[in-house]
Amino acid sequence: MGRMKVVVVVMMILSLSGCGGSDEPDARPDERAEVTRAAAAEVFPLIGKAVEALSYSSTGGGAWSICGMEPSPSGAEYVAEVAVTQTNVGSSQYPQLIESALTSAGWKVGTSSSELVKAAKDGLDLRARFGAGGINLSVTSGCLDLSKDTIRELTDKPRDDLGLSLP
Amino acid sequence: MTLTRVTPPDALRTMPESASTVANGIRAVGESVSDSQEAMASRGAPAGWKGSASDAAENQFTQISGDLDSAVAALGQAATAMDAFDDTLQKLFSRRETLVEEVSAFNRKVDAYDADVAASDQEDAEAQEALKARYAELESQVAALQGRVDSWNADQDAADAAVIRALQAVDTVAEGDKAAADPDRPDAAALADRLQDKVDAGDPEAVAAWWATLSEAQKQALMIHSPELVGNAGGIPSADRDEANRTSMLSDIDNLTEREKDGQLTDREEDRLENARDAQKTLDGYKDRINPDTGENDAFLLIFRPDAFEGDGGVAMSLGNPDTADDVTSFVPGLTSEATSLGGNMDSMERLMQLADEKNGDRSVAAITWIDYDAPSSADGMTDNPLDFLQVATQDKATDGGERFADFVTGLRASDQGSQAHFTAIGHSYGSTTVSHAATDQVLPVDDMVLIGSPGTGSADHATDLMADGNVYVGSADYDPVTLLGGPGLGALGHDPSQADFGAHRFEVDPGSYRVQDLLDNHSSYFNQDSTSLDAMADVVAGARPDEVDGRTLGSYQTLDTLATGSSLVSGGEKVWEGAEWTGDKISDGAGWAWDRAEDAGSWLNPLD
Repeated sequence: MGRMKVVVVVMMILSLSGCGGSDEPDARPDERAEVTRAAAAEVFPLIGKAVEALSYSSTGGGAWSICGMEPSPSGAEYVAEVAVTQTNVGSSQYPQLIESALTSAGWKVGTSSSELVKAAKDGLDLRARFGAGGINLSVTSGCLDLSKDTIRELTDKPRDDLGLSLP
Repeated sequence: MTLTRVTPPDALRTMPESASTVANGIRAVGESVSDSQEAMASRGAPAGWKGSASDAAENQFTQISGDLDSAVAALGQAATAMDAFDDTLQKLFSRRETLVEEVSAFNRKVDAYDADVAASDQEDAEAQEALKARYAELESQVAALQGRVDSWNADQDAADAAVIRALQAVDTVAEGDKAAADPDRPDAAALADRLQDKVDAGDPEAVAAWWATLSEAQKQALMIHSPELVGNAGGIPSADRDEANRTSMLSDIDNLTEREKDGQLTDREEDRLENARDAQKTLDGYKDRINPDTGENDAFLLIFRPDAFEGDGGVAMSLGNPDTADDVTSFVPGLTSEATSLGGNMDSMERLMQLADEKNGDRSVAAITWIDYDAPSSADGMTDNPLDFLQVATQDKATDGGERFADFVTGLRASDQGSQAHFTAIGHSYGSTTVSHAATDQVLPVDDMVLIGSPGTGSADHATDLMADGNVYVGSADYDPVTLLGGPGLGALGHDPSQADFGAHRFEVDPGSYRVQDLLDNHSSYFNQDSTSLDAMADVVAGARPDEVDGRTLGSYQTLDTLATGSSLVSGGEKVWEGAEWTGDKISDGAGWAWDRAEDAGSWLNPLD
C-alpha cells in the first residue's frame, strides 16, 4: 500500500509539472470569433427572411463556451446564436425553407429532419432547431485547443452583441 | 375568378418572455421593499431614549413602515397583473402559431389553385367544373379563417388594455394604501410559515398539492415575501421556482451592488454577490434560447442559495423545463464544484442535451446541472488537481450531498406534469460518489444512473445496490487515474464501478492520452465533442442502451501504479526527442527526483491508510 501511495503522488507531481493541458495553443481565438460572428450575421438574416421572421429573441449574441468539462476543460468554442420567435409561415415549412436558404449561401447541409437542420461551411457548424414555438439558430466555431488560462479569459468575457437588425 | 388570400395575424407586440422579465423585476423590488418594511416595523427608538423626540421617532418609524407596506401591496398587485399578462401572452402566442400554420397552408392552396387555373384548358369543361368546385370550397373557408385571425388581433388589443388598466390601478400612493387595506390581500407571512412547515415535513407531493390551491395573488405575495423559500422548495412547479429564484437573484444584485459601492460588503456578502452575478451571467447566456415547441425561454433556475456552504453557494439550473420534458437528466459534478462552476457545467449539459435530443425522436429533453452540495473545493485547500483528492478522500460530503440530491430529484418528481419523465442521474468524479450515496442511503427515484470518472461508489458493492434493476451505466477512461482509486485494495471512496464484478453496464470511453501531464485531462474528457462517452451518455438519457464493453478484471487494465510509472516514462521519452540535452540517464535522474519528492509528500499524505 505504501508504494502505491507514493506512485500516485509521483504521477500527480509530474502532472503538475506538465500543467495538465495542451502544450502550445495553436489557435487565434479573436480571429475565429470574428469569423463566426460574421458568418452568423450573414446567414441568420437569410434564414429569417426565408421564414418571414417577425421577431427575434434579441439582436443576437455570441460568447465562448468550454469544450470538455469542468474543472479541466480541453478547449473553447465560440457560439453565435439567436432565436426566431415569430414568423409568417407555418413551422411545417421550416425545414425546406431553411435548407434552401442555407444551400443558396454555400452551406453544406448534413442533417435535415422535421425539427433539425445542421450544416457546415468553412469549418463552421450551423444548427437550426425548430418547432411550433420558433427557431433556435447557432453557428459554432468548433473547439479550439487553448491553454487553461486562455479558456478562463475567454469564457469570462461579456457576451457579444451580433447587432442583427430586427425585422 | 380570383380568390382572396387570408391575412396572417399581427405579430405579438409583447413576447411572453418580456412580460416575465418585467414581473421578475417588480418582484425583486417588492422583496427589497418588503425586507425594509419588516425591518422598519420591528425597529423602535433605542432603549433609554425617552421623551417627545423619542415619541416622534417611533411615530416616524410606524409611518414609514406603513408607507412601505402600501408599496409592497401595490407591487404585489402589479406582479400579479404582469403574471396574468404573461399567461395571456403565452396563450396568444400558441394560438398565433396555430393560426399561422393554417393561414400559411390555406394560402398555399390558393396559390396552387391560381396556378392550375392559369394552366387549365378553357375548353375542357370537366376540368373547369373541377376548378369551380375547388374555388367554392376555398371561398367557403376564407371568411371563417379570416374571422379567427381578426378575433386573435382583437384579443391582443384586449390583453394590452387589461394589463394597462391593472397597472394603472396601483400607480398612486392612495391606491397603494387601498391595496394594503384590502381585506382580501394575501397574508404573505402566514403563507410563508405554512410553506416552511410543509418543506420541513419533507413531503414535496404535499407541497405541490398545496401550491396548486393558491390563487395567483397568493403565489405572487409569497414570491415577493420569501422568494428563497419558494424557489428552493421541491414540489413547486419549475417555472414558479425559476421566477422566485430570479427574484432572489435580482434583489441580491441590486441591494448588494449598492452596498458594494458604499464599501460596506462583508466577506459573506461578497460571496453572495459573486454567486448572484455568476448565476445571472449564466442565465443571460441562454437568453437567445427558446423551447422550440412552446417558445418559452429554455433556462430555469431551480436552486439559488448563494449563501450556502460558507459562501461556495448552491445552485441548479436546467435547460428545458423538467416538469414537461420527456427525458430529464441531472448532472452532479465533482471536486472543486461550487456555484460559480455553473456556466462551464451547463456547456457540457447543453452538448449532452443536443445529442440526446437528436436521438430520442419527438421526445423533449431537459438537462440539469445540480451543484447544491459542499463539494470538496478551495475552502478545503483544493485546486483543480486530483492530487488534492488524496487529501479529501472521505465520504462525508458525498453522504450529505447524496441526501440533498435525493431530495432535489424527489421534488422534481412531485412537480412533474403529465406522464412521468424518464430520469437519468449522472455523477462525475466525486459527484459519482455523491449520486451513489443518494441511491444507497436515500430513496433516489431515477430510472437510470450514469457514473463517469468514478473514484468509488460509497457503500455499494454491486450495481444492484444502486439501482434495483441494475440500470447503472459506467464510463471510465483507461488512463483516468481517478477511476483507478476504487480498484482492488484501494477504495477510500468505495468500489470502482467499472470493475466487472460490480455488474454495471460499462460503455466505451476514449482511453485518453498516456502522457503523464495529460492524465488530469483524461479525467475531464467525458463530455468532449464527438467522443464515444458523450454519445453513450446521450443514449442513456434518450432511453436507449449504449454499446457495452467488458468491465475491468485483473490483468485487463493498467493499475494505478503501472499507469503512473508507465506514463511517466513515456513522457520522459518525449523529452528525449524534444531536447538534445536529455539522455536516458537524465530520464532516470528525473524519475528518481520525482520519486524522492513523492516520498517526501508521502510522509504527510496518508489518506489511503
